[in-house]
Amino acid sequence: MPSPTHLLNNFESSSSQGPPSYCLICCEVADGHHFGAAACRACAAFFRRTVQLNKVHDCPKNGQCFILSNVRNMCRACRYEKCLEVGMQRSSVQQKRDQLGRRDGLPTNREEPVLDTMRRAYEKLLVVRKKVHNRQENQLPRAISFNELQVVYQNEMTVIYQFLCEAFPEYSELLPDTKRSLFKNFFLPFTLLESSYYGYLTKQENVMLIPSGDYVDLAHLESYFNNNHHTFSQKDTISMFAQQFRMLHTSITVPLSAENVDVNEFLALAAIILWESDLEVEADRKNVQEEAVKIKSAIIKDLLFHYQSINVYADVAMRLGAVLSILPSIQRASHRFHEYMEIKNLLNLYALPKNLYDMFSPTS
Amino acid sequence: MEPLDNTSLEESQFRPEKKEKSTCSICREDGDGYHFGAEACRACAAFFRRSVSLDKTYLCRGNNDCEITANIRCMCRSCRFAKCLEVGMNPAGVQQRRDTIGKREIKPDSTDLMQLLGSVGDGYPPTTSAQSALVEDLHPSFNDRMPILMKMRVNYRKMDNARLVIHRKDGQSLFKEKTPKAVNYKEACAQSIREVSLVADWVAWCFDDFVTLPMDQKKVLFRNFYTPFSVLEGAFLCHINDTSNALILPSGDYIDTNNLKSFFNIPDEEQPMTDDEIEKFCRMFKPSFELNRRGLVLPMMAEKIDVFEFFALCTFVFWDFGLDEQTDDCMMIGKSVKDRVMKELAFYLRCAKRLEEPSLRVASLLTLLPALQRCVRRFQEDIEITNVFNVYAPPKDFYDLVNGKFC
Repeated sequence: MPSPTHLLNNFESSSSQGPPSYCLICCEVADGHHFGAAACRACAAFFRRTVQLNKVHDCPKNGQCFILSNVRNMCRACRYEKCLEVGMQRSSVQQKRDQLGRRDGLPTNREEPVLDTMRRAYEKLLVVRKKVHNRQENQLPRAISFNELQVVYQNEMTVIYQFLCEAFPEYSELLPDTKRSLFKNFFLPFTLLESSYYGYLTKQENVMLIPSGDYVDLAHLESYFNNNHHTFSQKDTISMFAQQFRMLHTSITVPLSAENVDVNEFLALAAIILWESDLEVEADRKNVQEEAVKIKSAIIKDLLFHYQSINVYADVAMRLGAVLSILPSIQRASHRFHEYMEIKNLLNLYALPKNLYDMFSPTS
Repeated sequence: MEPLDNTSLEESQFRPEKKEKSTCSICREDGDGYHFGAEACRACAAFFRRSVSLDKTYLCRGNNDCEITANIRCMCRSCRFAKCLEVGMNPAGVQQRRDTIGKREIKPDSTDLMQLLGSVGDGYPPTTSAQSALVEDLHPSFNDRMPILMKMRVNYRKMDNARLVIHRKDGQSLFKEKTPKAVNYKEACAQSIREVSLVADWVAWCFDDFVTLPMDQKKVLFRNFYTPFSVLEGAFLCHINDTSNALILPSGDYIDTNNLKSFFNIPDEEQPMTDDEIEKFCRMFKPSFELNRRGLVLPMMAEKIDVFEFFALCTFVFWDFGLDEQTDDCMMIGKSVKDRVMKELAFYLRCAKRLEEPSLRVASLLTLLPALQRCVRRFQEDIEITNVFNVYAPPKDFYDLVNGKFC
């Protein structure tokens, strides 16, 4: 068996004589320089996949397998070792290109991964909120009343809409009616998910955190239900609606905490809630369907890449399954929360203003 | 496994010499590379593949110690197969569905479901052979790594056999093949009520952890499960029969969603609905069937969900969390079961379906769950409406069933 040095010398001299050159790994016709060495497209793709996916290959023999393009089932461990041996650099692999998808050569109209765009938009959202909700520096959180909560979420309608347009350029290009339908399906579940997420992060059980920085004190709902009503006493109101908030904790906060969900996973869940929603109107559906499938797929791939880079989970499929299985629970909580809102609306008991109630009502 | 084209290349002064021949670790003949986990010649590899694919069992006429070398004429197949396993060949590596050994008949023991649903009405085409792969069994070597999913598979077939009996009409022969027909809503309700005990048994057979739960927790889980399971299974049956314009019931009968009049029309009713009323109900409930179709059936078809993936979804639906009256213990047990099934599913996707990245598949599966929940809620709302109108009120036990108030 020829020694690697011998092979290297041969091909170095051959490349100085001009094309064609040969892949230093498998001796196929080379496709130019890749990651620091002359390589064919197949070996370059193999090396890139190995690095991007953090794959570890095992050699079933003694690590001295023959690597040639005409060998059937090239040993992956030895092929990878030979890539390194001939000078390929792991650091030359561009981590964020193509994610896990096939290279189809089509130009992408997106310059960065969906999750990154989303994260930037979310960080901006947090800054904008301070202005919109008139939050002073070092202002302490306090328990708020129903009337104050209304004002916060009235403002949130605009803020969240802006966030969606910046997080998803695809969203901002949709027709107004379609955007509205998607927004209605998104607004309430996102609100509940976000509140629960911060509840889990801050380890606070008896409060419902709201975007202004204040909270609803669930242990003393008298501070929240503080209006007089001609039919129902404050005590009656509290006993009727305390369960609404308790259910939120059980359905969303507890699973987020159990899985120790991080910010990327939180954003991925929010993205899937938006693009997974069902649209009743056929025209809306046609507009969105193709785009939604692409974005959901991109979100999952970005999340997988996130898992690879933090390198915490031995089995990313398991982790992904655990996080995504929270989705139905969020949906159920959202549905029941909306039922409570309907009851309040009927009784005219702490009913939301019409426009806010409308935006909190999913279309499906 | 990354097979490359085995084309021969032109000689070149820059190419090293042709590779050194390896030796088949089974018969000592010249090797043909790595097959199913061991160095093997093409003949031994083909022999092993045929033995596994066709589920062959060999009997040694000697003492199970026959010599296996290429120059022995008619070497003993039993000892040859044993030696294949001995040198490290793995039955799980054999790709069951490849056509390299020609088209295979559907195995007799896996045709229960196919026979039951073989053809649905005159207007619906018979199942294609491609679809049958969706409900095909796995080689027993998978039992060790997929105990729960394999148990679900075995017991699902038992449930299907029980369905043949329980949905049989009086006087109908047990042994004559049943002809699927379009049912009306009374018949659909009756079938659904008969299904409850079968599904309850199936669940108990599949999950040992369920059997150990206190009775009240069993009820909480099962009540939450039955309606979503019915909807999910209905969608799956439509998918494996390549039918998106009917709603297939476990009995093999169906609701003709292209002709809902047959669903709402009952010939011998005491107070039959007028044509206007029937028309009104058709218009009212058509969107729900449409939602079921686009939310569940079409995505399942697009993804080609198979029977083991269906079982994984059932597990996630069954061991739900955040339910009223559900204890923390129950939730913890559920999480443990789901983790185990997810591990089994990941193994299945990697080794049986041979997906390079199973996570993407997991994501496709789990995003069906919110859609399922929407369909179930719509269905429950429809039943609520019919109950309020009282024109074609469903039987009280069916109404309670759909809303999880039974047992």
